[in-house]
Amino acid sequence: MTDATSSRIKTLGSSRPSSPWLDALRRMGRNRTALVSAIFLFCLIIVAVFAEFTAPYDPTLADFAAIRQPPSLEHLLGTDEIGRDMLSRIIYGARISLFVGVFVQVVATSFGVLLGVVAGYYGGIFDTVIMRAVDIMYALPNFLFAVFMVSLLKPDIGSVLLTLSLSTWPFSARLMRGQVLATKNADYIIAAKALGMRDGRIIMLHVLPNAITPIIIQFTLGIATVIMAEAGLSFLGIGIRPPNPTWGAMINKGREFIRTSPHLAIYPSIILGLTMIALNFLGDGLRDALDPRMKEVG
Amino acid sequence: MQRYLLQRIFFIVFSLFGATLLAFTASRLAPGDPLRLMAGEQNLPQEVLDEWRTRYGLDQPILVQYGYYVANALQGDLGKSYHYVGTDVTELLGPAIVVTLTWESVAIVFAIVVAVFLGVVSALAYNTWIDTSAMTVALLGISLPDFALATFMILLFALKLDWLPVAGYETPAHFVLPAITLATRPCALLSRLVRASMLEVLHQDYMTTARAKGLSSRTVIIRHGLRNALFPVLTVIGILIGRILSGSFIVETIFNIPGIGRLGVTAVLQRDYPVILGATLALAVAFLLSTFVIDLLYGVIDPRIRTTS
Repeated sequence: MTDATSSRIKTLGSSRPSSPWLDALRRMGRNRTALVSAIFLFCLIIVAVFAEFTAPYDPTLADFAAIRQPPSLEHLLGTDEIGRDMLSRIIYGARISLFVGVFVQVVATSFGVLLGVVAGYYGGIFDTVIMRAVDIMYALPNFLFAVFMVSLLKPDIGSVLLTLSLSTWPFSARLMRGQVLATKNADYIIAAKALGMRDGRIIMLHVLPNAITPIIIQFTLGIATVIMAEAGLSFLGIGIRPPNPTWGAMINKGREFIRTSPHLAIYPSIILGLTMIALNFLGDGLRDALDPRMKEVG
Repeated sequence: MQRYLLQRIFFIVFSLFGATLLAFTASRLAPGDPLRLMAGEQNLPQEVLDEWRTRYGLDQPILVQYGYYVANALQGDLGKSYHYVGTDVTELLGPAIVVTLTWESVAIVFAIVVAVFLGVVSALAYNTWIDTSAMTVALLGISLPDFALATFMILLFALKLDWLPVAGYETPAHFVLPAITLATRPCALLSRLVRASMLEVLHQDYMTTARAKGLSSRTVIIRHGLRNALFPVLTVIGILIGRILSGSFIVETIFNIPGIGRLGVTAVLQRDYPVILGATLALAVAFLLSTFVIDLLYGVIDPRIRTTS
């Protein structure tokens, strides 16, 4: 490694000083849409995490003297059907949406990756049992299952997290199994086995790093899917209860007043749409950056 | 081929059992006595409730109950609704399935036609402004949640312009907005795939050969290009059709279409477990069948698969 590259690694502060990751980072930097999306999501996260400081009003504070007001200087995005500040509700809604999206993806992806590795690496009865379970989950109508499960449990954020995690893990399990099968018989893994390396070490050091790229992409795109599913549940009035502000519930409520005060439904729709778009652009950018072969084809 | 068919059919039956057993167990473990739900507002004496419990087999272990359920289901009896007391689940499911199949097939055809057109045009115009803008629109289509899209379209086409009805299910005009809402996501996904697949095919030797033979460019693109480009897309179409068939809860609720999606959601809200189970079963069958049919189509279109398996 030359001095120039090693100093660049230091300035970037990368914990993995390997050049493929650095190349990926550089490719990512050149992709303007992905970069803008990343910045947008970063800002959204900051605003949502510090909602207590960024939101101008209490999101649950009703003001019956100011019902369904159009946007003004006082209320930048207007007020809702019982006079709550729309901007504050959207900011607190972002907190719930982002939290659900990231939490569910962390749980479901970890679980799915674990099961996928076991199924792919050990094969046999493990593979049969795990993959048949995946098949069953695929056959179940996903959203009906989620609606059903949440309605059986308590209507709170815990059941939403549990249900969405349960219906999301099969995707990463199937993806991971395929990845492991593709690398399992590579020469370097056979060599590691021949040298007497234990399975756990082989998986952590050789199998996972070589299979992780599609998982990262799927993780990012999956956040969008989960946020959309949560919004769908809230939209149907199942799941996280009012007065907690969720984007899905706001859009649903706003539909009642769409003739007279369209801003009630429109603003949460716009922010939800923008978040989805940013996550998809970022996922696409990651795919191009991490897997240049994909770029050549499409 | 026969062995393969048997394997596939076994897989379908297995998945159906798994999915229904899961849904069945969940519904039985649910809080709330189903008999109380059936009784509704009326205050029935304990003897009547006990009599009902025995009649509906609710005093048996869950697996036995599931056995009865399957045995009855095989004879076309999915039980009776808790909410609409006395109505067979199949009576509710039947019309709903017809409604859903009708309006969703419009959406599916729309999605596939538009996606193939957009994908091929983008691939032929690779890296031009046509390509870039088509693919940007596609990414927007993937990103917009269906209820947000539906809200915008209702506001614009139904309320502001007054071209189309807001909701309901009477005339073909009622199909337009829900079909577009439902078709947008699959269409956007597919068009990206068709484009990628077409780009790959365009550089194959047989395309050069076809052109060198002096065939018109339309023949080359459609007969040689598109036919080969659609193979990898076919599986995805199967999965997407399955997803469309099983994914219309929100769209049917928004547009108030009396299909299987709205039936399922209403049943969940009313805790009408037999109807939920019936809807789950119907949707799982639809999903598995559509992937199965696509698998078979593969064999018909691509002779290589027929001979090797």
